[in-house]
Amino acid sequence: MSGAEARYRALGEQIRFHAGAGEEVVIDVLSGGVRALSAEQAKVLAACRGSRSLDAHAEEVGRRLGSRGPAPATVRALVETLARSGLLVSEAALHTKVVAAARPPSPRPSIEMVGIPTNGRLAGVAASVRAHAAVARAAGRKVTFVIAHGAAGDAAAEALAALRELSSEGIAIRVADRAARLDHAALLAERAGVDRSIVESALLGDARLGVDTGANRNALLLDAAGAAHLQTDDDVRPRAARAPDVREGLAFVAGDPNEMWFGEPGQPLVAPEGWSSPDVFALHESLLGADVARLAVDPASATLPGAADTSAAGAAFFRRLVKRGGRVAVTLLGGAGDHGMAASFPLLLLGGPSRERLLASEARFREAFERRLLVRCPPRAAIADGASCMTMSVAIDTRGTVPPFAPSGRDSDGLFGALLRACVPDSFSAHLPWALEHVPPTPRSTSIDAERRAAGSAAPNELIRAALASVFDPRDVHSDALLARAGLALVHLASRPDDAEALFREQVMRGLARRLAQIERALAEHGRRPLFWAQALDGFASALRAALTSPHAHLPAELVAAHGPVAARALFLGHVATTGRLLAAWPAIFRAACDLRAEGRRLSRAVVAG
Amino acid sequence: MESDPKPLRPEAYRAFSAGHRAPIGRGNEAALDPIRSSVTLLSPPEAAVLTACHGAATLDEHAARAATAGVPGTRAAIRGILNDLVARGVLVSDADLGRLLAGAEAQARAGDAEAPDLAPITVLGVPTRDRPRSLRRALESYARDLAASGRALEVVVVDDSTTEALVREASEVSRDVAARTGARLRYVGPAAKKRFARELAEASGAPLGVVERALAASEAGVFAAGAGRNALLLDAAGQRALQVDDDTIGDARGAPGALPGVSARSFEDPTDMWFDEREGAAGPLAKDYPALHERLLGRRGSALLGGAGGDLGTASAPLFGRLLRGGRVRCTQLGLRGDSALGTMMYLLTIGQPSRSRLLASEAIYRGAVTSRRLARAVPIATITELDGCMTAAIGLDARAILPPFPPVERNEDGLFGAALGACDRSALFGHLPWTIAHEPEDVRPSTFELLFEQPGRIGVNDLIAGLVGSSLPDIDHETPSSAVASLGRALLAWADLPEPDLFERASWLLARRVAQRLARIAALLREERRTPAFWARDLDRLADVLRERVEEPDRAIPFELLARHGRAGARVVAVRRVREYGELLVHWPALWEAARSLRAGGHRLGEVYT
Repeated sequence: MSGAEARYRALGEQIRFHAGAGEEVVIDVLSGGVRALSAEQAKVLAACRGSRSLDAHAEEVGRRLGSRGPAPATVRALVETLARSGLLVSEAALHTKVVAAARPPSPRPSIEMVGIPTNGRLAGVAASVRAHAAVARAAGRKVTFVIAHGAAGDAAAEALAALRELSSEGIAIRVADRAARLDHAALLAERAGVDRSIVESALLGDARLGVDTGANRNALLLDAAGAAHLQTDDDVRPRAARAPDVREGLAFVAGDPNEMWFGEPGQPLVAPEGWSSPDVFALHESLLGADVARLAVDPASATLPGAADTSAAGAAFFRRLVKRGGRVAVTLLGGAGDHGMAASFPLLLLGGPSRERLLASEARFREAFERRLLVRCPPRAAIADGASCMTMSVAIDTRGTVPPFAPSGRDSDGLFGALLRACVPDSFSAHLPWALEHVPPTPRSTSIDAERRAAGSAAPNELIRAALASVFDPRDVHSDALLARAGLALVHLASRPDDAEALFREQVMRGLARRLAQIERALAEHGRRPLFWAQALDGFASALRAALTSPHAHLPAELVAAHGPVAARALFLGHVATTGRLLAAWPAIFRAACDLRAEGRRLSRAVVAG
Repeated sequence: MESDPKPLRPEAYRAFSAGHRAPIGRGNEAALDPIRSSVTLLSPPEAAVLTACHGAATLDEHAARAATAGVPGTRAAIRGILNDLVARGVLVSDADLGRLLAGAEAQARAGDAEAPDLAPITVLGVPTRDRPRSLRRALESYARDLAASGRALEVVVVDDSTTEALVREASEVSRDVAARTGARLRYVGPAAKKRFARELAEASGAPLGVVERALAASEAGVFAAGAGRNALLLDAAGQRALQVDDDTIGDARGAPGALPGVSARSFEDPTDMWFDEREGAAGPLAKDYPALHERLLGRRGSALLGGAGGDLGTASAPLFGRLLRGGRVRCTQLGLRGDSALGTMMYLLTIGQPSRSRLLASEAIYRGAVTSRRLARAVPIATITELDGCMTAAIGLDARAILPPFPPVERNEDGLFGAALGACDRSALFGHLPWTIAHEPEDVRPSTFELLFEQPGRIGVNDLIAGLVGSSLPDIDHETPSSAVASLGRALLAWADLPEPDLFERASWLLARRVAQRLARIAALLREERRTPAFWARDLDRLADVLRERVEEPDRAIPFELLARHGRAGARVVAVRRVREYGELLVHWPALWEAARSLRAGGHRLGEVYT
């Protein structure tokens, strides 16, 4: 351990147990080993950051701890002990582990299907199909479009007519409408050996819980089962802007790698010359299905220029990669235009460069907050292990099992992202430094006052996501077993209404408390500057404090508003159970869909030009 | 001896928000009261005062403790904050809690299909193996007690002796004691158990191999008390029953200074210890052993604690939740005097007060207790707890509803049984009685002081499985008592299906957490006692060093008894097999339980009756 120039990395994310008098018992998440640390060792480990030589670590720790820390020579000795124990891991050892995790090259998927989930916005669908078809034509690609909508009766007939018109333009169109889903649900249920009502709940959703975007996405997943496909929102166009500060290379990131850029009032968000029409299929294909360890060692394997930067990947990221290997299961493009989030409030808690950009002026802040306009994407291509999943334009490698979307309610993609991370042990997501134009048919707006009034309310799927984090321990190796166990955990939870309610109450309290503590930290860190930002945050903090003590804070606010607290509780717990049953049955349903597709029996039906 | 019941303290107040508080910035906190399902926001002074409130006390007492603990502000200001916390429902009076319990009890009674009076206990089981002398002593003593009490109670001996001669001897001992004392005694030898296993397998559809493993020791040289206990459990399915070890003597005596009433206890081991044998044996002799258990066994906690004589003691929110759910005492146990029956005397080093003062009164007492392994241990008052620590030397089991099986082999079968019971029955309560029974094994276990430092930081296989049970709680399907047992089994099978390194890694993490807690406890004790006396502090330092060293060992999660028997690679394989076998047994247990009940309803009894 005398090589002073060798670099050692503090990966962070260890599991630490207090052992009294400042001592700690630490689980090294990367190796799985356990270390008992003295109070001084624990203090030094907590102060280590990044990748440096041991001397540089010692110097940095000394600077951070100042007079609170041990003498410099002691710090240097402690740092060396930590390196010897593996809690500071040498870059060379880390590299060796990652190399060992690389899998032999395998065929990469190509995207031949574009799925568009829609809630009946036919003009948007037509525009999106035409624009994507033009991109495909220009790239010499053959793609089929599958439109997923849940309309029935006249609305379904109207949709079919519109799709026939598109078909007559020479575009290959299929439809996954209600009738097609009902027919296929019967087939899937029989083949999978699961209750038909479970399949129908996955494909049709429950109108009482709000939007059925997730059911539409599930129809697309099962239609494409066994192959890669692209899902794009009906208000997304393949007109793209590169990340404004785009850089070369590939970043490996724990959490969400995206940044945000904002426009000035009266100015276009993206200058006209900033738009281009790249081959979005090729963008997705550049990383979809790629081996993550291989990418970390050699980004050029994905024909990406520049170097790999793993400095933002933590111990959990590497553990996941080293233990099970990694593949890019989904690729995501960013958005330019409406931010697509339920609320603008999260903008107030941005950090780093995104925050600086947002708060450069009050006018820019208000423009972004109230008109919801921004560019969101990573500044360079990134591989992430987080659950962040905004599905405006997402390619999914369904050659392997992926989880379902929550069929009903907001945040269906959030639950999908969380389940992908928890239940598909080798999955990673890739985020590309491009933002596609996002143009909802009617511009959306909001206000600080309006959002403050709704602060603290959670969507049903957000609550399920939080509950899963505490009732489900993702310890199995196989996706099927993990999904089944996650599902059963939800079913069991819903079968004990009082316990479930207590759990949600606790989860909501802790979630709101974390948010409030985050607000206070941000205000302190930035000295309550700028004032307009601090005042806005103060308002939200008051609203969150009020939400904390609300008797119904643990129930989805939209359900309480629509049905009253008693019915909302029953409806929500029913949704928890339904979601649980779906997760438990999903591996069988998914396999059945793969088999049926291989036999040429698809959920969607071809639309023939009228 | 237990005459005047201790009344509830209606003027006492307590908080249930410990463990349910979250910081919201600038020292403010949100606090959830899990009993009343409400969230309150606390200012920094309020949070500090609430943190200082431990257990039940009057507001003046709470104020005094807070001031002593260094909470800023005058006593009057603290008292003002306490008043406010009461007004906002953060501090709840025992009177209010008593009313809540009374309401829960009334509701439970209204929906209770059972007769208000429980049928008397009619069976006492004695598992035995290769110890005919101990067996004779135990049977004679319990038979004497039963004769004196005039009870019509059947004694069932389940014998797992390993040679024909020892089986014959145990059978003769049983027959002889029955003849001499007039006790009704049923002897179940290995052959009878084998027949029972076949009948059960046939009636239940469970694989014969699973049933045989559940009921009979299948591996030579492996401790297998659990198998005998399982035979007794199935024999008793549907009623309340007692089990005593064959190395106990049926002369239950009141615990030193035992108090009347019933108290609730959470957070820590409810038992006290005495290290002077004379003190332990000085209590009054019980006249009716089964009646000691009947006082708590099978009864609802809300009835026991909600009425006169009930004391909520240090009840935690989870315990109070079990009480409100109509939880019943599923397992009762007496204390012990004589051999401690502890796997390791290390436990003594970190015991709480007042036992610690007794232990550390002199170095001679301290060293004597560790090396002789002799002590008296019991609760000072009849106690109800949610803590599943279970020592089965003298237990009562409420088998009217399904109970999980014991692991058939390896030590600490009672610890794993308790963990499984606590996990499968969300309202299960554990009762401790302020009585001791003599525990005098004929093979007195040799001990040296050095042995104290052998086991810390190591894990036994049933301990490992108990840890996995604790990590499987979300996997348990509580729709019915049987589905809970079977689903726990499936969860254990899933653990066993993990790649071996993953399983042991997770086990080592469980152990790491436990070691950290133990180290924290050691640090707290040393601080609290100012490292006095020095002989004890020195040993605690050494214990901490051993723990720190062992928690880092690569083989830390491999069960120590298997490591000794099978070596590293073999031990891992056997450990996984033990997890799998207990999982399989749990999966089939509900069917076995029902089959056993049916066989008995059909007049079929296990073993041979001697009268």
